[in-house]
Amino acid sequence: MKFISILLALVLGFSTAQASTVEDFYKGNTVTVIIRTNADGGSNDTYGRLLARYIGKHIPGNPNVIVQNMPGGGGLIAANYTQHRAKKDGTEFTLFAQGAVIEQRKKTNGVDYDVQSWNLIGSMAGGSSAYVVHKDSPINNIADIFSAQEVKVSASGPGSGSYTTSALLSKMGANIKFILGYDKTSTKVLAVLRKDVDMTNGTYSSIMKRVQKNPDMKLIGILGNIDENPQVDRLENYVTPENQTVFDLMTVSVTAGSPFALPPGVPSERVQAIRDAFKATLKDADFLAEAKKLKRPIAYTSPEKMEKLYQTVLSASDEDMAKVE
Amino acid sequence: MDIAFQALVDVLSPASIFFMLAGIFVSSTFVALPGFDTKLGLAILIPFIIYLEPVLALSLMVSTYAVSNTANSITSILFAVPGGSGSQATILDGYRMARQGKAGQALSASFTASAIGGIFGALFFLVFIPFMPSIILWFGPVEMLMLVFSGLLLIGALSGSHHYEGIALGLIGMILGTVGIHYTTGQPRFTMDNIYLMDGFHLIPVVMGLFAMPELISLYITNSTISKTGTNNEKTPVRDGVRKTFQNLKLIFQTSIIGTWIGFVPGLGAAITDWVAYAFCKSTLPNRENIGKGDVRGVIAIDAATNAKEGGALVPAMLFGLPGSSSVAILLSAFSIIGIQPGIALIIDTPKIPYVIFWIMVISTIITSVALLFMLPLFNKITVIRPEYLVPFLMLMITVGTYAVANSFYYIWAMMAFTVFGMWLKLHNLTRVPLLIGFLLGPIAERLLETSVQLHGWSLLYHPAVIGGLCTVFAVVLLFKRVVHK
Repeated sequence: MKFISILLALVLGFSTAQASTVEDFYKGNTVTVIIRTNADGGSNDTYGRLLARYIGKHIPGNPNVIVQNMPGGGGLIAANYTQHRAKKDGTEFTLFAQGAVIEQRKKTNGVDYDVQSWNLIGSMAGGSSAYVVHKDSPINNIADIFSAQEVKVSASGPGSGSYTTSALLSKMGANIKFILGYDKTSTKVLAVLRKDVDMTNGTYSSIMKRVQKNPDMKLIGILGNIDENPQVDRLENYVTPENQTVFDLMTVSVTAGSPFALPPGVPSERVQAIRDAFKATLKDADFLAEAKKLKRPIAYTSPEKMEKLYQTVLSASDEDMAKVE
Repeated sequence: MDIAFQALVDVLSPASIFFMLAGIFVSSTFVALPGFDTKLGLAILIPFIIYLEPVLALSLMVSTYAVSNTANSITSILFAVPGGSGSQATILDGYRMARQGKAGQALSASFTASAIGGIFGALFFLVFIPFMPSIILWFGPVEMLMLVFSGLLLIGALSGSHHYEGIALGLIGMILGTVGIHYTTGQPRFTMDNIYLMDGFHLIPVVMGLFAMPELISLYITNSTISKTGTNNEKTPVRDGVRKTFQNLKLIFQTSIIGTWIGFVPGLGAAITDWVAYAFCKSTLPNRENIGKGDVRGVIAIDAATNAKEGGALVPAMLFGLPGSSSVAILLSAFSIIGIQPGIALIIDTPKIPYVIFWIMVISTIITSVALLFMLPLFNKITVIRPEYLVPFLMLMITVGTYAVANSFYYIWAMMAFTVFGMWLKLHNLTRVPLLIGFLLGPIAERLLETSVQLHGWSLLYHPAVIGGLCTVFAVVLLFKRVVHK
């Protein structure tokens, strides 16, 4: 009996000591959220700063949370920093580029990181895409895109999310002709309104903002985790076993739209504490209210799901990669 | 109308008023200091606006820009030293009035006329705002390309007497603008495998290095101050000046129209506005022989015109991103840093912003003119501050601000490299504005050209906008150059 009491005391004492270790560690400490873009008020900057304002109260010990912008190389600098130079004690984590895993698989010049070695935290925004045409257009749904002889699409350039989600249509069998160089959603939409092009696409929220304002635009398709407009055609309906791999590879950035990770080598209990805090923050009422005010949709993707997605990309054959490039 | 009202509410928030006052203070102080000007003030403020909400950043920058031609009359009138490029002609009548013991009246007339002219220019801008969405629908990639092309040709016009050097610097600016990952092909250009260069040069180190640092270094080296003069002893200078101004309302409207037009046509430039207004007085007014000999009408006409010009200049800047002067070029750089991109994006996505700009112009103009009427003694003191005390402080501010953009020493190295280049240009009396315009417009022109070629192929060459646009641009530039330099 005495032995059992001692053992119980040891176990309880140990677990309390461990819990207090994480709390003690973060108490009075400062956690830095590294954002891979400029402090430009853009999507990444806004999401990173929004999280930084609320996550502190959900991390044990309520540390002070600050933001550090680390732009450069389309996210390469922040990613390489996370791999090699970020503090491995759980006080620094990064909002990295959606395409980081694709760049790694493509062995892009300058990539010096391995996302599989990182401690993924989760993604706070699922990407989405909406496809729009002029109201006079004969295209009314995604099936019409596939049957059209040619569809001119206004886009910014390869690598952008909207380009990828239109290029996906092309890989799935549509005859898409890209007209590139439109740098903003508004310029892409204007090209549709002027009938310079047949169609454009962008994130669901940015496109819908314009569709609601302009009766000359027609929403014909959606991709991603969107509950609104159930009557509108969805690209997911056109996935077949033959194009499944291409679809999975090209929608990685749609699924994990705003991904965070701790560097490799962080003690596992601190990784878990940050993951829990991240998940709790995304349910925080004040946080959600501010996100709504900023018009930034929130959607949680778990680190396990991200890991699976990244595994799909990294294990893709050269042949499959060639299909999506 | 709702949007205009919402914009007014935003502008009247305490924080916005605070930043407007800060902008007014910076602008009025800088134009009153020897060697300093609004361009430098705008450049120095840029690294700090990235931390502000767009409306607050606009309050700071637009007020600095809008009131730049109000306080610059102080040094022109009191000391015969032009405060910036728009107040040279004010000296002719203003300084003579000061020597006749009527400095107070000249200054108060100048500030009142500045307010009226400034509001006139802002109203001109306001009239355009509702039409901007319709105007912008006429401009597809080809039409925009022609406009940007005309902006690039204006580089020559903005280069003073060094036309060819200006075009050469514009080309260098365009090359610098191409550094980084190519927009549509994803290919790195001129990056030398350096990952910092993949995003291209950031505007802040470029503007700081080219404009702010060389000016500060040169001020420190020359170490000049304005000599002091005695204050006047008029009885009711403010009332006399205001009364004289309102007696000449017709003249104010006439020269305000001239100023607005000069601002509206990109490239005519700030430097000629005061002289055109002066020439108007000298050739059309009754008793014109008095103009240039201490006539208050000379002061009023010029200050109304130079202030009205700013509203006119904002129309092409907001619609097409075309900078008509160096101050507007720096202002556009500031807009792009806070995520406001002139043109389609601004007008369709953020229709409130033009109204915000309008209200800031009107309110800051009124505040400045009223405040200056009561603050003359303070500006008398500022003009004797020795730059050697101010320059190191400003340099430190710029360096910290530039570093803080991305917490990266790369930005400091880039700024230093551009400082060396900027100093070299300054030493050779070459204007740095074409370089900035090339840097800003070059990548836009390239992108529009690519889009136009993809849309039209070879038939682009027969596109009416190309034929009409090219002929008009060449005709206007060639004829205009002749008229301006006459």
